[in-house]
Amino acid sequence: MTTTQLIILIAIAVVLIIVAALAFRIRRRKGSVMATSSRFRRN
Amino acid sequence: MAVKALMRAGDVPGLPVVCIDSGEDVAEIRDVIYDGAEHKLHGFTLNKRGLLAGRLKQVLLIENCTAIGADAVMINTVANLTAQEEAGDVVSPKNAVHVIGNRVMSANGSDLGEIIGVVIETDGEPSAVGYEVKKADSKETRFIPITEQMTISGENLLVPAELEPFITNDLAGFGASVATYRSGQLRGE
Repeated sequence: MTTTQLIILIAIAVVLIIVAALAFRIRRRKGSVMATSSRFRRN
Repeated sequence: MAVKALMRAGDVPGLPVVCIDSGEDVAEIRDVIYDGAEHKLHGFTLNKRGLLAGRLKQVLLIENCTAIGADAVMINTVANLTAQEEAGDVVSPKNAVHVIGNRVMSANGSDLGEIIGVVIETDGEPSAVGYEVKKADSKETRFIPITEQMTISGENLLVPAELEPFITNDLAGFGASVATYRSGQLRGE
């Protein structure tokens, strides 16, 4: 593997990690409706 | 018979929290937390503003809200936000469970569907007044008034059979249905 190929591979990996982190961050922001009672089972 | 202002609790997450004194957005609603037994709203957990911003360490207790509107939740000042430690367990997702997905059964044995949403009353003392349910084989959603007689058995939320006539297909008419059902309950019908 040439140095250029290695750099491209690392760059692709970095981009994928950043995209995954952003997706995880956006997903974690999503809220929901919750009840504080034993009347509801845990999903 | 007073018809109350109703909205879907699921529409509240994502709304900005706006300070009346400064006019600025100080946070964004994350979770809506209510008492599953008494049905009163406890408050909201919050996100920081911005698409990638994380969770805010403060929460908003319902008594500190001046209004819950279709486009924003209003507070007087930024001091109305309460630190999670001070709020204790009242507004903590750790002590709350998701209500979406529970199956609703009538006491006469009919399956009313699965809970896909909670309807809240935003006037006066904000509280949950109904559930939006959907049957697996239907595209149509229906609204069921919340009653004190609701009990949970296994995975089902059981409602009294006499509630069925008050189930409506539209949110606009649901406020009147809740008021009629409650006035009937007060009269002991």
